[in-house]
Amino acid sequence: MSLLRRLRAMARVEIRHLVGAPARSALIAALIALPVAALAGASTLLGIVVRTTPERVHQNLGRADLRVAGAPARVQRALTQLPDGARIESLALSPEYLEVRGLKLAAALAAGQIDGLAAGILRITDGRAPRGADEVALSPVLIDVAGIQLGDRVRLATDGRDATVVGTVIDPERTTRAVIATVSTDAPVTGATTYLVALPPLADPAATAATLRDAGAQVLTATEVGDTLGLEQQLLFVLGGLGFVEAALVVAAAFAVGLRRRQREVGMLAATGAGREDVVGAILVSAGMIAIAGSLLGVAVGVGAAGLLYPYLDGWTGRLVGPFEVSPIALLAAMSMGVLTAVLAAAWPARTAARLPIRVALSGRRPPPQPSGSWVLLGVVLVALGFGLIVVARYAIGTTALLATLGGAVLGVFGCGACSPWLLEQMACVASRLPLPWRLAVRDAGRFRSRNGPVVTAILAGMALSVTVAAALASIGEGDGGWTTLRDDQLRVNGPAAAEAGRRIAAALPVEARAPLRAAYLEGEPIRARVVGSQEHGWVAIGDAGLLDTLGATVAEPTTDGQIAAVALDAFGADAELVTRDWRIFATATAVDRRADVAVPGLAFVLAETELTRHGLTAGPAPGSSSASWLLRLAGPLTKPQLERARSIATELAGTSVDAGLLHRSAPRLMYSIGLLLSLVTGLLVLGVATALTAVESRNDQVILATVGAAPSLSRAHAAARAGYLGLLGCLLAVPAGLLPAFGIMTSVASVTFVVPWTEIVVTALLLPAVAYLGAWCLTRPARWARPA
Amino acid sequence: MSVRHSLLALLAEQPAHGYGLKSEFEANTGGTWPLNVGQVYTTLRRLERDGLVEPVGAEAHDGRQTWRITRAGRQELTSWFATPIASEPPSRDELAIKVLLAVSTDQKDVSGLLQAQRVATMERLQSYTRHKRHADPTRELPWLLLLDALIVQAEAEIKWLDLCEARLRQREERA
Amino acid sequence: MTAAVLELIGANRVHGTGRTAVEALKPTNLRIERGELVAIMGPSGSGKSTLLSLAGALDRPTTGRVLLGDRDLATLSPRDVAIMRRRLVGYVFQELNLLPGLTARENVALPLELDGVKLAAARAQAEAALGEVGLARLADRFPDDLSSGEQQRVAVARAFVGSREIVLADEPTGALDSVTGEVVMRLLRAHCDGGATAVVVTHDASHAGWADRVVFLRDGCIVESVGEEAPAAPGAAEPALRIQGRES
Repeated sequence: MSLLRRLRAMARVEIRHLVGAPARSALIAALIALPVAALAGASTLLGIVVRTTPERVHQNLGRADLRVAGAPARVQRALTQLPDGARIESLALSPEYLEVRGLKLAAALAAGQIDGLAAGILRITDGRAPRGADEVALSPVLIDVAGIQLGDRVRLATDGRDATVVGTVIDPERTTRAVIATVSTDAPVTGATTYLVALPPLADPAATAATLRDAGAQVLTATEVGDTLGLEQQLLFVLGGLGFVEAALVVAAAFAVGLRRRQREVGMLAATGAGREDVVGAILVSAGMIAIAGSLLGVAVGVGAAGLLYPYLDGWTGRLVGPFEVSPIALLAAMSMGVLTAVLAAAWPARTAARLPIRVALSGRRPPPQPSGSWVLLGVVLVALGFGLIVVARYAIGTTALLATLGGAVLGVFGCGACSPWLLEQMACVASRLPLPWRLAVRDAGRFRSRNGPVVTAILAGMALSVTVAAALASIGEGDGGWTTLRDDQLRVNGPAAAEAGRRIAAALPVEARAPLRAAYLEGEPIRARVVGSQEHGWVAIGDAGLLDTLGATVAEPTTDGQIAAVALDAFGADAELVTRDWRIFATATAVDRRADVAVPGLAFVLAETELTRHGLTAGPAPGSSSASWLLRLAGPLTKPQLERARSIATELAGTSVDAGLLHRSAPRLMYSIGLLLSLVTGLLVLGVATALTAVESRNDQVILATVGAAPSLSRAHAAARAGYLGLLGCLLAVPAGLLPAFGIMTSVASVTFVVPWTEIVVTALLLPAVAYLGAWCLTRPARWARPA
Repeated sequence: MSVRHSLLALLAEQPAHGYGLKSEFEANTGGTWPLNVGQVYTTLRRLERDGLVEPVGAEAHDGRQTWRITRAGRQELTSWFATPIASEPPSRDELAIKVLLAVSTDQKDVSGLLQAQRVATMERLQSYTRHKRHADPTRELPWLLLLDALIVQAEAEIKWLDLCEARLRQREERA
Repeated sequence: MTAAVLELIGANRVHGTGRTAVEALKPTNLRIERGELVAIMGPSGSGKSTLLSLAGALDRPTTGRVLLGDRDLATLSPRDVAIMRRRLVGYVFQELNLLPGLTARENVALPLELDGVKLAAARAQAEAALGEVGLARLADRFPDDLSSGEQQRVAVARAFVGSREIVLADEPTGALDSVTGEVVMRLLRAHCDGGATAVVVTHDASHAGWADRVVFLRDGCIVESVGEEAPAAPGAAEPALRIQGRES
């Protein structure tokens, strides 16, 4: 009871300070509100965007109970073991090309009963499902790009079949995906075939799945769908966590500065008989109050923003999203995170202030700075631990993986941050030749390293967010481009007169290389290259250095006779099995070079001409074309006018069409771009706040500078140098700290390749400090010329 | 008391004759405190009467007599050094009396008096400080210490004058 | 007649307006000659710091003029004021004079560096100024590693550095004990004997004693001025001190 009474007296003092410095209190509240708003908003949006388990089951299985895939022979054998009364439908996905009005559009051909068991995996939104071989449904992307209307005739390039468009179909998971839906055909399928199985009543899906697995098939059941976590969720979880770390550090810095300015007062309170726990308790009470206010504000802003964004969600996510719903639990969680963050953030400076010896506190002098060498050791250990957790996350699943990733990310940030006091100290030692504003900035940062360390760490956390998002953007973009589209600088010409059209286009546009695109055939069937011991496969092209040049690949060391033996493309390993259409292995091939950024859809391997005769192969049309096709590579990315020009040249020759990556947009990229922009803005905000907080320390310095005759503008240069310096340091440290979680997340998701976005990183690491420098310059008022009383 | 004990202190170092004691005393106080020889002899004779000093040998032909300190003299000196100066009765110095009388008899221009005195004291203080500038802090330490004492006294006087003025003003404001 | 380095002509300063207006300094005339060390004394609120602020262009007079050499401070632009502070006027305050991020040498070199003097030259001059205050061996220390007396001496060295003509000191000994304070006053005294000028605000009569002239302020007015006569030539005979020992 007496403790409470004591606390009340102390808390009164603290609350007076909160009210007395409304700007600082508002800043702290806003800093808490920011991540709470982000978390509340993001969790609300995510709750809408991310499917519930039944929705995901519907997405993956349609109306079926099981989805079966694998090597055709094994699948066929396995399907015979299904109980009587089971209904089986096939759903084949393969790359296809749609020819209409001189355009050749890459798309995924989905062959199956779209309104049967597959309903849900694909959804008919307009018209009806195709019922015969001469009917197709197209996704809105294709309809928009080519200007098609229901009832129009289109041609499927692979088997040259003409069909009528009878409906609009979308992949609910990716509404921007180019899909051609058709009923099952007997045409050669170069992609994967899966089988949807509806079990008779009373049959046990799990037991049946086990039977099928024993027979060598890959089986997905409804119970297994619920366990997978989306990439977006992982990213948001990690980014949200980092956001709170960021907020905590800035809030801690704000409290630290406030307490530093009141050092004498705290000393006086202690001298009057207040114990350490009184001082800490009172500060925590006031921090808690301000955090509750900030959290409420944050929840309001977050939900409000989510409500405003909701109508645009379909477009941004490229998916059909559910109804607008707010989860009270998620909001409560966001709020408690906010309060917890603020209280934890206040605890550290409060403890520091309370532990200061009274004598030092009353003198108003700064306690001697701690040696920073041991911090580096701590930092290295933390980074190593963080890396360890990221590695753990790669091999773990579900929540464990998520928590390990977040833990790794946070440890990485703190580890890099822990090195900052030492860095600040070292930099201060070599600053004597710097121009005055920079020398002051560097020396002050070094002198107040225990205070500037957290500031650098806060900036670091903010920038690490951006680096993570940038890496995600680059990696996801990479993964997208690899499967569906051509590269930005490639142009594909199809049709009987492709050679002539290619020649004409090369004369009109800056084409650097062109070569015929031909596939290898065995006994009239196209062969495939398959990753050894796996189902991953792609088609095999025939060509020489010329073709490789158009693919953007250069072989470092041609084989002895000047011919290329084999080149593996895309995500293939060095070794591949060459298989026939019915998966019979007839040869193996070894690559002399590998390229990851070759983007001809489905292409896996390039064989040299000499290899043809060795294996008894012939050359034939490449998938996506019933006759010849040529591949052209331009000097730079293809522009819209260039594409128009190429299209008009192609239409001059009968039956010729062009295809380019430009015709396919990628929606997720846009979303991540917005994310990157937001995180950059937040990072800049944090940088601004953090450096403004450190500026308080040097207010007296400005007066001294003025009295020895510093020009009023020096205060600007000083503030700018400080913002630039702390920003630069934070941004540089953010590169490893941000790549660590990005590496963890990207490599744990099989479908994307981890790519380091060097350009973005370099630009960010230099641009942000530069912006901070200029911003501080513009926002700082020139010093007053009179010394205040 | 101080001349008496000063002579004892000088004799405690080495025996000396009257004139020598006078010169040494003046040297040690920086020449600010002149003694006349008669005063020295009178004091020596009183010291002899009290058994604190004694003559050494016979009087020289020029009439000089060398003196030395006795055991009792040394004891007296030791106890003098050991005894702190006790609080004295209120100052009887002229300035204080002048100001007190001026206030109690309601003289017209008390503050004029105070100001004039402050100027005079300040000038004295400046003059002490000028001496201090030229004093050698190692060789002339006693001199320097004396100057410090004088400066502090003058400073106290100025402070007191300021205080008088402030109190007079308070009285006027209340009236 | 020597040249006036600093002159206040009917300068006053009023804070606030209307009913709340307070005249911190009433119209004041003050002339300070080259080579003079002038002390300004007076109780709190008597206007001594205001007077010093006007003299150093830290503040502007409400009416009247303040001349530094032949320049009227009221007409100077902020830029010119800054240049004046680099080249003509050095300040010493009671405390917090130094930039904690710079070493003693760098602090002293600051006005020169701001004035565009080459770094090496500025630091050499700073070293000389530090030598003048007897701190050459501590040139590479940071202020936090110096005692308050040493810090104050560094501040004095900074006020001396270059070819500054006048030093304005506001309670330079206020935070120091008497012995350390005396060291600072001795430095100012020696500097003025070398031909420079200094104005020192102090409430300590013993420190004011180092001045050639002591100006007393009361309620914003100069009430007395002690030692109006020209400074005594060094070595001139002083009137012998006569002290009446209180004999018993």
